[in-house]
Amino acid sequence: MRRRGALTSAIVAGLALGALAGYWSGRRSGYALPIGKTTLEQEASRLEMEYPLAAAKKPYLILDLLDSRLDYRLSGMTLKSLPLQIDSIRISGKEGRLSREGNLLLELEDRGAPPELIVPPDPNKPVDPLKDPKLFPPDPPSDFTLLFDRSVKVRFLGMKDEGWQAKMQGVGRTMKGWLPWGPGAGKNEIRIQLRLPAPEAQEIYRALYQHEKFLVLGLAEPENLPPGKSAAK
Amino acid sequence: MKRLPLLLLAAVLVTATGLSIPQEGPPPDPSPPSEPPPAPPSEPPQTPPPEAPATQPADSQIVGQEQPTPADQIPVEPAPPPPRKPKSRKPLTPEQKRDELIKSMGALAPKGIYLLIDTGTNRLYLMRNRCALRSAVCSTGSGRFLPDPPRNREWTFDTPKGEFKIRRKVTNPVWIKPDWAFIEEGEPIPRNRQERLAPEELGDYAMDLGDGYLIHGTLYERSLGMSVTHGCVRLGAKDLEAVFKSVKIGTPVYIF
Repeated sequence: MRRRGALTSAIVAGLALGALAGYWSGRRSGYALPIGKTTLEQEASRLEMEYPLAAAKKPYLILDLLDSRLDYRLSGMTLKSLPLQIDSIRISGKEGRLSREGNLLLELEDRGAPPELIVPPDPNKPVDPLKDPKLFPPDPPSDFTLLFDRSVKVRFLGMKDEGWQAKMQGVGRTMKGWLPWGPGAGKNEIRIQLRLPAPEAQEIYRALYQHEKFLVLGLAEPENLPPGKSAAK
Repeated sequence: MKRLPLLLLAAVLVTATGLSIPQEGPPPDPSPPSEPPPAPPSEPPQTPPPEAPATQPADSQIVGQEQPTPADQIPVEPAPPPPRKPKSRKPLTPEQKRDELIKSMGALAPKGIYLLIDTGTNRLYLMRNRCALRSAVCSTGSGRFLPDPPRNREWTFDTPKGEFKIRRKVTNPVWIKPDWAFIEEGEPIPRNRQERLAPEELGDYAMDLGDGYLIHGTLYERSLGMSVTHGCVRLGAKDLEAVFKSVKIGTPVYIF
Protein backbone atom coordinates (compact mmCIF):
# COMPACT_ATOMS: atom_id res chain seq x y z
CA MET A 1 0.00 0.00 0.00
CA ARG A 2 2.78 2.40 0.92
CA ARG A 3 4.58 1.68 -2.35
CA ARG A 4 1.43 2.31 -4.36
CA GLY A 5 0.90 5.56 -2.49
CA ALA A 6 4.43 6.73 -3.23
CA LEU A 7 4.02 5.83 -6.89
CA THR A 8 0.73 7.72 -7.14
CA SER A 9 2.19 10.81 -5.50
CA ALA A 10 5.24 10.64 -7.81
CA ILE A 11 2.94 10.49 -10.87
CA VAL A 12 0.84 13.38 -9.55
CA ALA A 13 3.97 15.43 -8.83
CA GLY A 14 5.35 14.65 -12.30
CA LEU A 15 2.11 15.68 -13.98
CA ALA A 16 1.95 18.87 -11.94
CA LEU A 17 5.53 19.74 -12.87
CA GLY A 18 4.84 18.92 -16.51
CA ALA A 19 1.73 21.10 -16.51
CA LEU A 20 3.67 23.90 -14.86
CA ALA A 21 6.49 23.60 -17.41
CA GLY A 22 4.00 23.50 -20.26
CA TYR A 23 2.20 26.54 -18.88
CA TRP A 24 5.50 28.36 -18.36
CA SER A 25 6.86 27.60 -21.82
CA GLY A 26 3.55 28.58 -23.43
CA ARG A 27 3.10 31.68 -21.30
CA ARG A 28 6.41 33.22 -22.23
CA SER A 29 5.34 34.32 -25.66
CA GLY A 30 7.17 37.62 -25.25
CA TYR A 31 10.41 38.46 -23.49
CA ALA A 32 10.40 41.49 -21.23
CA LEU A 33 11.38 44.48 -23.32
CA PRO A 34 13.62 47.16 -21.85
CA ILE A 35 11.90 50.38 -20.83
CA GLY A 36 12.00 53.36 -23.17
CA LYS A 37 12.37 53.79 -26.90
CA THR A 38 15.35 53.30 -29.14
CA THR A 39 17.26 56.57 -29.27
CA LEU A 40 18.81 58.11 -32.36
CA GLU A 41 22.27 57.30 -31.02
CA GLN A 42 21.34 53.66 -30.60
CA GLU A 43 19.89 53.53 -34.10
CA ALA A 44 22.96 55.21 -35.55
CA SER A 45 25.20 52.79 -33.68
CA ARG A 46 23.23 49.84 -35.03
CA LEU A 47 23.49 51.18 -38.59
CA GLU A 48 27.19 51.78 -38.10
CA MET A 49 27.63 48.13 -37.19
CA GLU A 50 25.52 47.00 -40.11
CA TYR A 51 27.11 49.14 -42.80
CA PRO A 52 30.27 47.00 -43.31
CA LEU A 53 28.06 43.91 -43.61
CA ALA A 54 25.90 45.61 -46.22
CA ALA A 55 28.94 46.75 -48.17
CA ALA A 56 30.44 43.24 -48.15
CA LYS A 57 27.94 42.01 -50.79
CA LYS A 58 27.26 38.81 -48.90
CA PRO A 59 23.94 37.97 -47.29
CA TYR A 60 23.75 38.49 -43.54
CA LEU A 61 21.11 38.06 -40.88
CA ILE A 62 19.78 40.43 -38.28
CA LEU A 63 18.41 38.68 -35.24
CA ASP A 64 16.28 41.39 -33.71
CA LEU A 65 15.48 40.20 -30.20
CA LEU A 66 13.67 43.46 -29.41
CA ASP A 67 11.28 42.97 -32.30
CA SER A 68 11.30 39.13 -32.21
CA ARG A 69 12.22 38.59 -35.82
CA LEU A 70 15.00 37.36 -38.05
CA ASP A 71 15.74 39.49 -41.11
CA TYR A 72 17.61 38.30 -44.17
CA ARG A 73 19.51 41.21 -45.57
CA LEU A 74 21.82 41.83 -48.49
CA SER A 75 23.37 45.14 -49.50
CA GLY A 76 21.24 46.86 -46.89
CA MET A 77 17.88 45.64 -48.19
CA THR A 78 15.63 43.27 -46.31
CA LEU A 79 14.92 40.24 -48.44
CA LYS A 80 12.85 38.27 -45.99
CA SER A 81 11.70 38.61 -42.40
CA LEU A 82 10.68 35.69 -40.18
CA PRO A 83 8.85 36.31 -36.91
CA LEU A 84 9.93 34.20 -33.96
CA GLN A 85 9.46 33.87 -30.25
CA ILE A 86 12.19 34.13 -27.63
CA ASP A 87 12.04 31.20 -25.25
CA SER A 88 15.07 31.98 -23.15
CA ILE A 89 18.29 33.95 -23.00
CA ARG A 90 20.83 32.56 -20.59
CA ILE A 91 24.16 34.19 -19.94
CA SER A 92 26.59 31.94 -18.03
CA GLY A 93 23.64 29.86 -16.88
CA LYS A 94 21.66 32.83 -15.55
CA GLU A 95 18.72 34.54 -17.14
CA GLY A 96 19.83 37.31 -19.48
CA ARG A 97 18.02 40.54 -20.19
CA LEU A 98 17.36 42.49 -23.34
CA SER A 99 18.94 45.89 -23.69
CA ARG A 100 18.45 48.64 -26.24
CA GLU A 101 22.14 49.55 -26.25
CA GLY A 102 23.36 46.07 -26.92
CA ASN A 103 24.31 44.83 -30.39
CA LEU A 104 26.43 41.78 -30.93
CA LEU A 105 28.13 40.91 -34.19
CA LEU A 106 28.61 37.16 -34.56
CA GLU A 107 30.02 34.76 -37.11
CA LEU A 108 28.56 31.32 -37.64
CA GLU A 109 31.10 28.62 -36.92
CA ASP A 110 29.02 25.49 -37.02
CA ARG A 111 25.42 24.71 -37.79
CA GLY A 112 25.45 21.83 -35.40
CA ALA A 113 25.25 18.88 -37.77
CA PRO A 114 27.69 17.47 -40.33
CA PRO A 115 26.63 17.55 -43.99
CA GLU A 116 24.86 14.50 -45.27
CA LEU A 117 27.27 12.04 -46.82
CA ILE A 118 26.61 10.70 -50.31
CA VAL A 119 27.09 6.98 -50.57
CA PRO A 120 27.40 5.86 -54.20
CA PRO A 121 24.78 3.22 -55.01
CA ASP A 122 25.63 -0.41 -55.39
CA PRO A 123 25.44 -1.12 -59.16
CA ASN A 124 23.97 -4.54 -58.35
CA LYS A 125 21.12 -3.12 -56.29
CA PRO A 126 18.86 -0.74 -58.23
CA VAL A 127 17.66 2.31 -56.23
CA ASP A 128 13.96 2.84 -55.73
CA PRO A 129 13.36 6.19 -57.53
CA LEU A 130 10.90 7.24 -54.81
CA LYS A 131 13.61 6.79 -52.21
CA ASP A 132 16.42 8.35 -54.23
CA PRO A 133 17.81 11.20 -52.09
CA LYS A 134 18.96 12.91 -55.29
CA LEU A 135 15.34 13.42 -56.27
CA PHE A 136 13.68 13.46 -52.86
CA PRO A 137 16.13 14.70 -50.24
CA PRO A 138 15.46 14.15 -46.55
CA ASP A 139 14.00 17.10 -44.65
CA PRO A 140 16.52 19.33 -42.91
CA PRO A 141 16.30 19.41 -39.11
CA SER A 142 13.73 21.68 -37.50
CA ASP A 143 15.42 21.69 -34.09
CA PHE A 144 19.07 22.68 -34.27
CA THR A 145 21.66 24.72 -32.42
CA LEU A 146 23.97 27.13 -34.19
CA LEU A 147 27.40 27.67 -32.74
CA PHE A 148 28.88 31.12 -33.12
CA ASP A 149 32.16 32.67 -32.25
CA ARG A 150 32.32 34.52 -28.93
CA SER A 151 30.76 31.48 -27.22
CA VAL A 152 27.21 32.12 -28.34
CA LYS A 153 24.80 29.27 -29.05
CA VAL A 154 21.41 29.84 -30.62
CA ARG A 155 18.89 27.07 -30.67
CA PHE A 156 16.06 27.23 -33.21
CA LEU A 157 13.20 25.11 -32.01
CA GLY A 158 10.82 24.44 -34.88
CA MET A 159 7.32 23.65 -33.65
CA LYS A 160 5.44 20.89 -35.40
CA ASP A 161 2.04 19.47 -34.82
CA GLU A 162 3.65 16.57 -33.01
CA GLY A 163 2.43 13.73 -30.89
CA TRP A 164 2.45 13.66 -27.09
CA GLN A 165 5.95 12.14 -26.97
CA ALA A 166 7.53 15.11 -28.71
CA LYS A 167 5.51 17.49 -26.54
CA MET A 168 6.74 15.75 -23.41
CA GLN A 169 10.30 15.95 -24.71
CA GLY A 170 9.85 19.70 -25.19
CA VAL A 171 8.56 20.03 -21.65
CA GLY A 172 11.52 17.99 -20.42
CA ARG A 173 13.93 20.29 -22.23
CA THR A 174 12.28 23.35 -20.70
CA MET A 175 12.55 21.82 -17.24
CA LYS A 176 16.18 20.92 -17.88
CA GLY A 177 16.87 24.57 -18.59
CA TRP A 178 15.72 25.49 -15.08
CA LEU A 179 18.17 23.23 -13.37
CA PRO A 180 21.15 24.96 -11.77
CA TRP A 181 23.39 22.35 -13.43
CA GLY A 182 21.45 22.57 -16.72
CA PRO A 183 22.94 23.45 -20.12
CA GLY A 184 25.30 26.37 -20.08
CA ALA A 185 25.58 26.49 -16.29
CA GLY A 186 29.08 27.26 -15.09
CA LYS A 187 30.26 28.16 -18.60
CA ASN A 188 30.98 31.63 -19.86
CA GLU A 189 28.60 31.49 -22.76
CA ILE A 190 25.37 32.92 -24.06
CA ARG A 191 22.53 30.54 -24.93
CA ILE A 192 19.48 31.79 -26.76
CA GLN A 193 16.49 29.62 -27.51
CA LEU A 194 14.07 30.72 -30.19
CA ARG A 195 10.80 29.13 -31.20
CA LEU A 196 9.18 29.30 -34.61
CA PRO A 197 7.13 27.07 -36.94
CA ALA A 198 9.06 24.00 -38.12
CA PRO A 199 8.98 24.82 -41.88
CA GLU A 200 10.58 28.18 -41.16
CA ALA A 201 13.24 26.61 -38.95
CA GLN A 202 14.05 24.22 -41.81
CA GLU A 203 14.13 27.15 -44.22
CA ILE A 204 16.70 28.89 -42.01
CA TYR A 205 18.82 25.75 -41.75
CA ARG A 206 18.81 25.16 -45.51
CA ALA A 207 20.12 28.62 -46.35
CA LEU A 208 22.88 28.83 -43.73
CA TYR A 209 26.49 28.92 -44.75
CA GLN A 210 29.66 28.84 -42.74
CA HIS A 211 31.02 32.17 -41.55
CA GLU A 212 27.64 33.81 -42.18
CA LYS A 213 27.40 37.03 -40.19
CA PHE A 214 24.63 37.62 -37.66
CA LEU A 215 23.96 40.97 -36.07
CA VAL A 216 22.07 40.37 -32.83
CA LEU A 217 20.10 43.39 -31.66
CA GLY A 218 19.05 43.78 -28.06
CA LEU A 219 21.77 41.83 -26.35
CA ALA A 220 24.73 43.51 -24.75
CA GLU A 221 27.95 41.57 -24.68
CA PRO A 222 28.71 40.54 -21.13
CA GLU A 223 32.19 41.04 -19.78
CA ASN A 224 34.63 38.15 -19.58
CA LEU A 225 33.04 36.28 -22.44
CA PRO A 226 35.75 34.09 -23.95
CA PRO A 227 36.49 34.49 -27.64
CA GLY A 228 35.23 31.83 -30.02
CA LYS A 229 37.19 29.58 -32.34
CA SER A 230 37.41 32.13 -35.13
CA ALA A 231 38.65 34.80 -32.77
CA ALA A 232 41.38 32.49 -31.58
CA LYS A 233 42.68 31.88 -35.12
CA MET B 1 82.34 71.37 -35.53
CA LYS B 2 83.99 68.29 -36.98
CA ARG B 3 81.03 66.23 -35.87
CA LEU B 4 78.48 68.35 -37.72
CA PRO B 5 78.76 66.60 -41.13
CA LEU B 6 78.54 63.21 -39.37
CA LEU B 7 75.44 64.27 -37.49
CA LEU B 8 73.91 65.59 -40.71
CA LEU B 9 74.69 62.30 -42.47
CA ALA B 10 73.11 60.34 -39.63
CA ALA B 11 70.00 62.53 -39.78
CA VAL B 12 69.70 61.97 -43.55
CA LEU B 13 70.09 58.20 -43.09
CA VAL B 14 67.48 58.10 -40.36
CA THR B 15 65.02 60.05 -42.48
CA ALA B 16 65.67 57.95 -45.60
CA THR B 17 65.33 54.55 -43.90
CA GLY B 18 62.34 55.51 -41.82
CA LEU B 19 64.06 54.44 -38.64
CA SER B 20 63.09 56.20 -35.51
CA ILE B 21 65.24 57.01 -32.62
CA PRO B 22 64.01 55.06 -29.62
CA GLN B 23 62.62 57.27 -26.97
CA GLU B 24 62.18 56.54 -23.40
CA GLY B 25 58.66 56.15 -22.10
CA PRO B 26 55.79 53.67 -22.10
CA PRO B 27 55.33 51.39 -25.13
CA PRO B 28 52.71 52.47 -27.66
CA ASP B 29 49.21 51.43 -26.76
CA PRO B 30 48.16 48.64 -29.14
CA SER B 31 44.48 49.31 -28.53
CA PRO B 32 42.68 51.56 -30.98
CA PRO B 33 42.40 55.21 -30.10
CA SER B 34 39.43 56.22 -28.07
CA GLU B 35 38.21 58.59 -30.77
CA PRO B 36 34.68 57.97 -31.98
CA PRO B 37 34.63 55.68 -35.03
CA PRO B 38 34.66 57.53 -38.32
CA ALA B 39 31.51 57.91 -40.35
CA PRO B 40 31.10 55.09 -42.89
CA PRO B 41 33.03 55.58 -46.06
CA SER B 42 31.03 56.87 -48.96
CA GLU B 43 32.84 54.25 -51.02
CA PRO B 44 32.08 50.67 -50.00
CA PRO B 45 35.22 48.91 -48.80
CA GLN B 46 36.77 46.50 -51.21
CA THR B 47 35.68 43.00 -50.45
CA PRO B 48 36.86 39.71 -51.83
CA PRO B 49 34.61 38.14 -54.44
CA PRO B 50 32.06 35.60 -53.18
CA GLU B 51 33.90 32.62 -51.85
CA ALA B 52 34.01 29.63 -54.09
CA PRO B 53 34.47 26.29 -52.42
CA ALA B 54 37.86 24.64 -52.52
CA THR B 55 36.56 22.14 -55.01
CA GLN B 56 34.27 22.85 -57.91
CA PRO B 57 31.06 21.07 -57.16
CA ALA B 58 28.92 22.74 -59.77
CA ASP B 59 28.27 21.60 -63.32
CA SER B 60 31.60 23.07 -64.22
CA GLN B 61 31.70 23.07 -67.99
CA ILE B 62 29.21 23.52 -70.75
CA VAL B 63 29.33 23.89 -74.47
CA GLY B 64 26.57 25.33 -76.62
CA GLN B 65 25.55 28.24 -78.74
CA GLU B 66 26.81 31.21 -76.86
CA GLN B 67 24.94 34.46 -77.20
CA PRO B 68 27.12 37.21 -78.57
CA THR B 69 28.04 39.84 -76.05
CA PRO B 70 27.32 43.30 -77.37
CA ALA B 71 29.79 45.89 -76.33
CA ASP B 72 27.24 47.57 -74.07
CA GLN B 73 26.58 44.33 -72.22
CA ILE B 74 30.12 43.43 -71.32
CA PRO B 75 30.15 43.09 -67.57
CA VAL B 76 32.01 45.96 -66.15
CA GLU B 77 32.67 46.48 -62.50
CA PRO B 78 30.78 49.60 -61.50
CA ALA B 79 33.01 52.51 -60.81
CA PRO B 80 33.12 53.23 -57.11
CA PRO B 81 31.35 56.43 -56.15
CA PRO B 82 33.72 59.32 -55.72
CA PRO B 83 34.65 59.97 -52.14
CA ARG B 84 32.64 62.72 -50.60
CA LYS B 85 34.45 65.81 -49.56
CA PRO B 86 34.11 66.49 -45.89
CA LYS B 87 31.79 69.44 -45.65
CA SER B 88 32.92 70.60 -42.29
CA ARG B 89 34.83 69.35 -39.31
CA LYS B 90 31.79 69.80 -37.11
CA PRO B 91 30.77 66.43 -35.66
CA LEU B 92 27.51 65.05 -36.98
CA THR B 93 24.47 64.97 -34.77
CA PRO B 94 23.01 61.48 -34.17
CA GLU B 95 20.17 62.30 -36.54
CA GLN B 96 22.54 63.43 -39.31
CA LYS B 97 24.68 60.38 -38.72
CA ARG B 98 21.69 58.06 -38.95
CA ASP B 99 20.39 59.75 -42.10
CA GLU B 100 23.84 59.60 -43.66
CA LEU B 101 24.08 55.88 -42.90
CA ILE B 102 20.59 55.18 -44.26
CA LYS B 103 21.51 57.08 -47.41
CA SER B 104 24.78 55.18 -47.83
CA MET B 105 23.04 51.88 -47.27
CA GLY B 106 20.28 52.79 -49.73
CA ALA B 107 22.94 53.47 -52.36
CA LEU B 108 24.07 49.84 -52.05
CA ALA B 109 20.66 48.41 -52.93
CA PRO B 110 20.38 47.03 -56.46
CA LYS B 111 18.54 48.93 -59.15
CA GLY B 112 17.06 47.92 -62.48
CA ILE B 113 16.63 44.26 -63.41
CA TYR B 114 18.21 41.62 -61.18
CA LEU B 115 17.59 38.10 -59.91
CA LEU B 116 17.02 37.13 -56.29
CA ILE B 117 17.44 33.49 -55.33
CA ASP B 118 16.23 32.25 -51.96
CA THR B 119 17.96 28.95 -51.18
CA GLY B 120 15.85 28.50 -48.04
CA THR B 121 12.56 28.33 -49.91
CA ASN B 122 13.96 27.41 -53.35
CA ARG B 123 12.41 30.39 -55.08
CA LEU B 124 13.81 32.66 -57.76
CA TYR B 125 12.50 36.18 -58.26
CA LEU B 126 12.98 38.30 -61.33
CA MET B 127 13.09 41.80 -59.89
CA ARG B 128 12.96 45.33 -61.19
CA ASN B 129 14.01 47.76 -58.46
CA ARG B 130 11.86 46.63 -55.52
CA CYS B 131 9.11 44.92 -57.54
CA ALA B 132 9.01 41.20 -58.28
CA LEU B 133 8.18 40.77 -61.96
CA ARG B 134 8.15 36.99 -61.80
CA SER B 135 8.42 34.35 -59.12
CA ALA B 136 9.56 30.85 -59.99
CA VAL B 137 10.11 27.61 -58.14
CA CYS B 138 13.71 26.50 -58.47
CA SER B 139 16.09 23.94 -57.01
CA THR B 140 19.34 24.81 -55.30
CA GLY B 141 22.29 22.99 -53.73
CA SER B 142 21.66 19.93 -51.59
CA GLY B 143 24.50 20.66 -49.18
CA ARG B 144 25.46 16.99 -49.40
CA PHE B 145 29.03 15.85 -49.19
CA LEU B 146 30.80 13.48 -51.58
CA PRO B 147 34.27 12.19 -50.73
CA ASP B 148 36.60 10.54 -53.21
CA PRO B 149 39.21 8.95 -50.91
CA PRO B 150 41.26 7.18 -53.61
CA ARG B 151 42.07 10.49 -55.28
CA ASN B 152 42.01 12.53 -52.07
CA ARG B 153 39.21 14.80 -53.26
CA GLU B 154 35.87 15.88 -51.85
CA TRP B 155 32.90 17.99 -52.88
CA THR B 156 30.16 19.78 -50.96
CA PHE B 157 27.17 20.54 -53.13
CA ASP B 158 26.17 23.98 -51.88
CA THR B 159 24.89 26.90 -53.90
CA PRO B 160 27.24 29.79 -53.17
CA LYS B 161 25.69 32.83 -51.49
CA GLY B 162 26.33 36.44 -52.34
CA GLU B 163 26.30 38.77 -55.30
CA PHE B 164 27.03 37.43 -58.78
CA LYS B 165 26.58 38.54 -62.36
CA ILE B 166 25.37 36.77 -65.48
CA ARG B 167 28.61 36.17 -67.31
CA ARG B 168 27.41 34.15 -70.30
CA LYS B 169 24.12 33.19 -71.88
CA VAL B 170 24.09 29.90 -73.74
CA THR B 171 21.32 28.30 -75.78
CA ASN B 172 21.15 24.51 -76.14
CA PRO B 173 23.86 23.95 -73.56
CA VAL B 174 25.62 20.61 -73.46
CA TRP B 175 26.85 19.54 -70.06
CA ILE B 176 30.33 18.08 -69.88
CA LYS B 177 29.92 15.82 -66.88
CA PRO B 178 32.66 16.30 -64.31
CA ASP B 179 34.26 13.47 -62.32
CA TRP B 180 31.90 13.75 -59.35
CA ALA B 181 28.90 12.97 -61.56
CA PHE B 182 30.38 9.51 -62.17
CA ILE B 183 31.67 8.97 -58.63
CA GLU B 184 28.25 9.82 -57.24
CA GLU B 185 26.67 7.16 -59.43
CA GLY B 186 29.32 4.59 -58.57
CA GLU B 187 30.44 4.54 -62.20
CA PRO B 188 34.01 4.56 -63.53
CA ILE B 189 35.34 7.91 -64.69
CA PRO B 190 35.57 7.90 -68.50
CA ARG B 191 38.75 8.87 -70.25
CA ASN B 192 36.97 9.84 -73.43
CA ARG B 193 35.44 13.34 -73.54
CA GLN B 194 32.56 12.12 -75.69
CA GLU B 195 31.38 9.89 -72.87
CA ARG B 196 31.05 12.92 -70.64
CA LEU B 197 28.65 14.84 -72.87
CA ALA B 198 25.04 15.11 -71.67
CA PRO B 199 23.22 17.16 -74.32
CA GLU B 200 19.71 17.48 -72.84
CA GLU B 201 20.44 17.50 -69.14
CA LEU B 202 20.56 21.31 -68.76
CA GLY B 203 17.43 22.20 -70.73
CA ASP B 204 17.27 24.79 -73.51
CA TYR B 205 19.16 27.62 -71.86
CA ALA B 206 21.92 28.21 -69.37
CA MET B 207 23.16 31.37 -67.67
CA ASP B 208 26.68 31.23 -66.31
CA LEU B 209 27.35 32.79 -62.91
CA GLY B 210 31.05 31.95 -62.92
CA ASP B 211 33.10 29.30 -61.11
CA GLY B 212 31.09 26.59 -62.85
CA TYR B 213 27.74 27.61 -61.32
CA LEU B 214 24.83 27.97 -63.73
CA ILE B 215 21.14 28.73 -63.84
CA HIS B 216 19.77 26.06 -66.17
CA GLY B 217 16.83 23.77 -66.92
CA THR B 218 16.27 20.22 -65.80
CA LEU B 219 14.92 16.88 -66.86
CA TYR B 220 13.57 16.34 -63.35
CA GLU B 221 10.93 19.03 -62.97
CA ARG B 222 9.28 16.97 -60.23
CA SER B 223 12.12 17.81 -57.89
CA LEU B 224 11.79 21.58 -58.37
CA GLY B 225 11.30 23.32 -55.03
CA MET B 226 13.72 20.94 -53.31
CA SER B 227 17.37 21.30 -52.44
CA VAL B 228 18.76 18.63 -54.74
CA THR B 229 21.32 20.18 -57.05
CA HIS B 230 25.09 20.13 -57.05
CA GLY B 231 25.25 23.89 -56.56
CA CYS B 232 23.60 25.11 -59.75
CA VAL B 233 20.14 26.66 -59.81
CA ARG B 234 17.57 24.65 -61.77
CA LEU B 235 14.41 26.14 -63.22
CA GLY B 236 11.38 24.76 -65.01
CA ALA B 237 11.35 25.16 -68.81
CA LYS B 238 8.87 28.07 -68.96
CA ASP B 239 10.46 30.05 -66.17
CA LEU B 240 13.90 29.39 -67.59
CA GLU B 241 12.92 30.82 -70.95
CA ALA B 242 11.28 33.88 -69.38
CA VAL B 243 14.27 34.58 -67.16
CA PHE B 244 16.76 33.95 -69.97
CA LYS B 245 14.98 36.47 -72.20
CA SER B 246 14.73 39.07 -69.45
CA VAL B 247 18.31 39.17 -68.27
CA LYS B 248 21.39 40.51 -69.98
CA ILE B 249 25.02 39.70 -69.57
CA GLY B 250 26.03 41.65 -66.49
CA THR B 251 22.62 41.41 -64.79
CA PRO B 252 23.22 41.05 -61.04
CA VAL B 253 22.15 37.86 -59.27
CA TYR B 254 21.78 37.83 -55.49
CA ILE B 255 21.75 34.45 -53.80
CA PHE B 256 20.84 34.16 -50.12
